[in-house]
Amino acid sequence: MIGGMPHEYVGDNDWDLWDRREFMAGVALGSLTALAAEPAAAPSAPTIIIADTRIAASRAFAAEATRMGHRVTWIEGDITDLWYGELDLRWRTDKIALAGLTAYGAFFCLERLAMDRGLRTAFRGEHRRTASGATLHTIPCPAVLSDALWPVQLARAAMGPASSGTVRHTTRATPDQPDLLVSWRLAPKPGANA
Amino acid sequence: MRVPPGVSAADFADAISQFKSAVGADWVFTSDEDLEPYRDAYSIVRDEPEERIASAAVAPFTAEEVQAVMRIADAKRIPVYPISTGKNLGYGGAAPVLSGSVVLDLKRMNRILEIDERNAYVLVEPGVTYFDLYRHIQDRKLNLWIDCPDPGWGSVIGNALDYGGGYTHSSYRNHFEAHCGMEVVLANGEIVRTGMGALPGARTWQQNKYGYGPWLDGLFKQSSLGVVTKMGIWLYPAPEAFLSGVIGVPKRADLGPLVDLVNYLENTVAIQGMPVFGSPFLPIGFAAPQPPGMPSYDASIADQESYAAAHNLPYWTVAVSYYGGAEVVKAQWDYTRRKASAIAGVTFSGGDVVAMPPKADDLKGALSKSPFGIPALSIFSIGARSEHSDPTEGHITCSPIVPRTGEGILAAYDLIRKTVKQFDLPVSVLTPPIGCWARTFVILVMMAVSADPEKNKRTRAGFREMIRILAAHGYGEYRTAPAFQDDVMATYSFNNHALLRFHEAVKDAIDPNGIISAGRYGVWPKHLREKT
Repeated sequence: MIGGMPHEYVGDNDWDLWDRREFMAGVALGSLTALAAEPAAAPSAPTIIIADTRIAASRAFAAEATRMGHRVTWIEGDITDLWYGELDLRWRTDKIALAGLTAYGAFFCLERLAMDRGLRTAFRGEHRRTASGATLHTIPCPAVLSDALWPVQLARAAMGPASSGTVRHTTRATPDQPDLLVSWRLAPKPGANA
Repeated sequence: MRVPPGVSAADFADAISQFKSAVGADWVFTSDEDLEPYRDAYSIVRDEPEERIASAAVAPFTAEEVQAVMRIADAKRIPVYPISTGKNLGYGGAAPVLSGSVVLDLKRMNRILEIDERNAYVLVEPGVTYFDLYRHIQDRKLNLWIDCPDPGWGSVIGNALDYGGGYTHSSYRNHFEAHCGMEVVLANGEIVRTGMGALPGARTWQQNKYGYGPWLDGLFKQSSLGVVTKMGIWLYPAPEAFLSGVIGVPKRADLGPLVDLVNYLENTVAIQGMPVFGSPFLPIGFAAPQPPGMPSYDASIADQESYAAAHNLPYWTVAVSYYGGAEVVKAQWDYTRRKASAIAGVTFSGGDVVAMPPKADDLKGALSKSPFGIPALSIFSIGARSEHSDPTEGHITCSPIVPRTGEGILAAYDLIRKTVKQFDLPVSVLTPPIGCWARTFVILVMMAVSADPEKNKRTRAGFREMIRILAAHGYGEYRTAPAFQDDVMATYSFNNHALLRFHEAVKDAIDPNGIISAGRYGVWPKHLREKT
């Protein structure tokens, strides 16, 4: 699956597959149409988006990042094939940035490997499912997150600069959401060595 | 900029300047951002005053640059802490034991210097990871396997020096025992080669471990005596076939005969793969729920055995595995079944011969590819949806060495479980007896590190009690996190700590200024012993 997208997720509006009811709620509130009408954020540096096929919010994040012009590489929890088949070789010559909304384990591995190759964590948000079925978001930027669109909003936020403070939001959780998701961007440190 | 303990700011600044001249300014790191990778991601003292923080990091490219760095450090009395790739998570990672040390990061020394298919060995530098070595072999289509631990991102040399273990043939699972020959840079910058490497132009450095005279290599295991810059590792000539089968026995008391049987088969090399013991009554996750109605581990043996009988479950299982020719592994499985039939009620499952290398379908559903010599990082994704197994703060592991007897295992489990309850330790995983290393088991008691320093304080206190209690019953740790290395060394106390005093005498002789890895595995240089 490395480098390709599983066919069931192909589509310009893939992000809405994460929960069609939330999609409809978003339309009803007008927020979705407003967001979709926005031009994609100013192009950021080329970034590979790492998305987990098993997690709807991760897929939604990836779809929005695709709309912003970034390429998606899919994982199913484990990043071994991503590392061995792509990053280990690519990062030897081209320190391309990575971003994603994934379970903690995938982020942890990628962050450690990235640090070894001269990249640093440029954005890190945490999204914890609570016992009451909500998601508590802690993000390093002032973005507003809504029940219907938070993975999409996170994709835009993660591509922008992190600010010094942290902002907390609470939204609903998705049914398949792991206890902890991390939104993140790993970017080359200026002047980094291999 | 932080300054190492006992070093003036001016001397340290001068040393940093000299390090830059030796390895290049781009490879000397002093900013907090650059030093973040050298913090222990699993530290039980993270963000507390006791956290071990490096003052700087230096990343040489060659053994000659390592020599230059050591000469500078020795002259300036700068403590250095060599790491290979710093991936021994749970046992300290890349962080120094002595806060303020300069991390000597060897990751750039990642050359595979020689690989020999006919005699199945490789000579590597410390920055070579299991992924690197695997790729090197695959790219050249060599008929060789590596033996790797669960995470494949670690250093081949680092894991061997830290006494790590793997999962393939018993001749290769003990990574320190699978090494053959070292090159070591000492504190004064001198280079020593061990075994046949001491003979200039030796043709057998990676084939004969011992050479002539006393064998020094053991001095560099879990050591603070030198910087290993090259090491030979014996590789596994790729086997043609693999077979795995499961032996089940119905009674709790059957564990003794089952372990004895496996010992016999392993020690006669009739079984080559790592035996994996288990029981439905001994859940791996300490807090994992059992199926409704299943008696707990603490229930009466009669209740457990009757539940097992009613549900067609063995009380104990052991998965055994074989590597070799197809006809050989099949014969060994038949032989195992014949020997195991002496245990009343024994059952068998599995036993299919799988041609090697494994195909993608053979690996589907496999928890780990390590038994096939394939490095992976999947261990970090197993618990992605579990409440207990994906801690963001990491874990520490109590790792007692346990005898290979049924009664030894049961006594150790009883003691561990009692101690966990007594000190309310946050155990997330209690493993079956692990057989990476010959002749003994290791049981891993993994405890979650918390974001709450108060919880970590309680965990540390309980962990220390567990070390002490286990040792009082004859169970010593094989490896531990820096926060507990003094505690474990204190338990190896025969004859008024004669072993530690011996280590200290050697340390003082080989590294008189005490600059290498101060405190590692509980061995401190003279000037720091005197302070305490």
